[in-house]
Amino acid sequence: MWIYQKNLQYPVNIKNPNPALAKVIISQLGGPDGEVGASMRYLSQRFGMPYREVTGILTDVGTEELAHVEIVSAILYQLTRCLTIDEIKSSGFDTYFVDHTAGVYPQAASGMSFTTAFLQSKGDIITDLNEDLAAEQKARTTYDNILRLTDDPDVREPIKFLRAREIVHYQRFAEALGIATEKADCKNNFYITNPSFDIKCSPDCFFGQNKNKQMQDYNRNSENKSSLNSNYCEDTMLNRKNSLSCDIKSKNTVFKNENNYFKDCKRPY
Amino acid sequence: MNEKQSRCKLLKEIQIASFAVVETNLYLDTHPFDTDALCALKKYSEMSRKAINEYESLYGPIFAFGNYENNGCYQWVKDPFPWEKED
Repeated sequence: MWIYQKNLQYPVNIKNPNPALAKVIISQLGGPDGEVGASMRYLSQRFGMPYREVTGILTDVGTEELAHVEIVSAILYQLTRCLTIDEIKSSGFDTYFVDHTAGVYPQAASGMSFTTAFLQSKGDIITDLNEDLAAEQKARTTYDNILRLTDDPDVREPIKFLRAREIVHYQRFAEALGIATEKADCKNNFYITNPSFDIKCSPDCFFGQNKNKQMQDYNRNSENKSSLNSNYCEDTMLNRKNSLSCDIKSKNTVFKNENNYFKDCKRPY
Repeated sequence: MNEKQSRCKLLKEIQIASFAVVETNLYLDTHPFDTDALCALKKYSEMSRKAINEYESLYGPIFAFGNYENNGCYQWVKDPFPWEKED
C-alpha cells in the first residue's frame, strides 16, 4: 500500500502561465519517457525479482516516480492557470484545450496519449534492469531538451531537480544490475538461467561432470512444458546435493576452454 | 515572520528532510551494509518526523494515514493541496 504525504517532493511556484511550454513539458507526464511510464514500469517489474536489493530499489524508485508525476502535473497545472481564449488560441494550446480544457491528462507532446506500450516488464532480471537504465537516460535527455526550451527560472528549478534524480536512479539501477549479475548463481555466466523464472535452479550444474546427462534430461523434460520448471529444478538440485556437478575443478576446466564456454551459454529453454 | 512565511519555512524543512530520507533509502537498497548511511537514514528520518509533527500540530495534517483531524475538525479537505498556488 501507499500513504500520501501532502507536500510536493520539490516546490513548484510558477508566476507566469505559459501554455505553449506546458504543451512540451507534458511529455514528461505521459510521453514515451515520462514519469507515469517510469512508475508503472518499476512497480510492475518488481514482482518477479529474485533478489531483495533489486525488489527494494524498484519499489522505492517506482514510489519516487509517483512523486515526480505529481511535480510534473503541478508544473502543468500552474503553467495553464487563468488563461484567456486569446492566449489559448495564440499559444497553440487550443488543440489540447478542445479535448481536456486545462485538465492534466497524461499524453506526449505530440498529442499521443499515454500507453503501456511505452514500457516493458519482461520477467527477466537482466533485461528489465537494462530497460530501466535506458529509461532513466531517456528521461534525462527529455529534461535536457526541456531546459533548452525555457529560460523561466520558476520552471527550470523543478525540472533541474527531476533531471538530477534520473541520474541518481540510473546509478542505483546500475548497482542493482551489478548485484543481480553477481548473485545470478553462476559467477561466470549469468545468462544461463533467468533467475526471475528458473526458481532454485543452479546453473553450476551445467558445467559439472553430469552436464550431458542433464542436458538430455532437460530436453526430455522440456517436451512437457508444464513440468519444465519443476523437473529441471529437482534434477539440478539433486545433482548438486550429490556434489558431483558443482565440482569446482571441473567447472574451472570448462571455463578455461572458451569454445566450451560459449557452447554452453544457452539458456535452459 | 508572518504565519505564511513560518508555514513555508516549516514546509521546506519537511521537504529537505524527506528528500534526505528518500535519497539515503535508495542508496541503502544497493548498499545495505553501509553503516554510515544507516546512521544518516536514522538521523534524517528523525528530522523528517519531527518537522512533520511540528507542522501538523500548527497547520493541520500532512501525512495522510489516519491523521486527518485537527482540533475536532476533519481538516484534510480544508487545507490546500500542494500544487495549489497561494497568491
